[in-house]
Amino acid sequence: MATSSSTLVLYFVGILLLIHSGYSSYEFHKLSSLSHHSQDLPQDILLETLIGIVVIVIGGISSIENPNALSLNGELIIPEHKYLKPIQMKDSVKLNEKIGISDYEDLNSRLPFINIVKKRKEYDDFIKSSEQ
Amino acid sequence: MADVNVVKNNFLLIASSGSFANFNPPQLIYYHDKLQQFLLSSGDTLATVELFNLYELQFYLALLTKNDIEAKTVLNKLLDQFGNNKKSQRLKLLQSIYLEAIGDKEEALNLINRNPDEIQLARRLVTFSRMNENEDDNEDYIETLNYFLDLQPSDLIAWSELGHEYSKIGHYDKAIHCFKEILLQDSFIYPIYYQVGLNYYYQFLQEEKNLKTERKDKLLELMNILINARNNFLRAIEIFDDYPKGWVGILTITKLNSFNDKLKKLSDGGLKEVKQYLEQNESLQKLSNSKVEEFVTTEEYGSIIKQFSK
Repeated sequence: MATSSSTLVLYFVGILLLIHSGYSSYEFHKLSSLSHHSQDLPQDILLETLIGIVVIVIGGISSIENPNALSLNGELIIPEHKYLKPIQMKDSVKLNEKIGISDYEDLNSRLPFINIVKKRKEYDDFIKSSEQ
Repeated sequence: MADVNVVKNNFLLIASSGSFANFNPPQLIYYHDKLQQFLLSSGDTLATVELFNLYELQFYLALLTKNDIEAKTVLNKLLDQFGNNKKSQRLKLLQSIYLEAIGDKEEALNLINRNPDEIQLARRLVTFSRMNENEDDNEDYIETLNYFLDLQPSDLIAWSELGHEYSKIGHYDKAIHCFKEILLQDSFIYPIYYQVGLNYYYQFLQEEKNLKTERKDKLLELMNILINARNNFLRAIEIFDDYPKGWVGILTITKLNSFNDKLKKLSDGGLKEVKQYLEQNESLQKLSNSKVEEFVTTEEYGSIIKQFSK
């Protein structure tokens, strides 16, 4: 889940609108209590509140956008689903398979049992052979 | 150029999966250099947990690329931050791996307590019975792994390790048993179905090699091994239908022409089950061929098919 700058702008604008509509409502009630006339809240304040909520909701939805990924070959992978991850297993494992690291990679890599001596020797041999 | 977040997530995925343990030397050099640059340029922007996870990855990559001084520096950084926690298995493991890598095996062993409840260290303790220079001489290692699994029967990584060790020395029936133990605990791990299928295939190759006469019962036995291999590849595909290894596995099995010719003779003799197997083979070959052409790249096919030539 990535919070992009556009999402932050949407949150900021939405909160600003809500604060402004709240303050306008407070002013309106203060004035109407001083003038002893009870009136309904003006339409523009209601509209501003509604727009503020909608903008925040849009910001919230865009914040759950699936980020792009990088495969082990260095290719940029764009997820098939823009928002939320697929529920079905055959679809949900697809992205990691494209990256080159499956969801069960720990059973393949078996890091706790790594033969560090052998791996370093392999590396040594590779360096020696590439120097020749 | 890829976004910083994309690169960061890539490193974090590599770190958490441990996939670097199977990297080849060029990959190790590439990721070691890339991570070093990334930490220098963007280390300050990372959350603490992410930063220390990447330090751990840097430690492993430095050690695997024989940059021992760098590995020691990173290890010291981790010890400075978390050294107060004397019970940390993760830290002890890193220290022990470092000592083992630089050749101080005795000290590396001393660091690990013999407490079976400390599973991470207990796993590492098992590896001390392995002949690091000659992995094929793994009798003691297998024995220790079996002992460990008696104490920790739900450790899937250890079952996988044991399966691979048996497979290395040609005990494919035992390897299959180990992989099936994993499937008993989680029946959706499609790469393990592939491993089971692959080991049945190896078993087939082994027994076919030892086949002296083309007796009917022997050929039927071999056919049943191939059916088992095929069914496991199919199960992997049933879970994840775009699984390249599974499709390549099916294609390889259906393309065993010389063995299929022997079966054809039996089928002509009126054996129903053989006839059915050959018919299924034919339709699966067409399907797997089209699937492999559809989404398996030549490079990928080459690396997968290598596993089938034992």
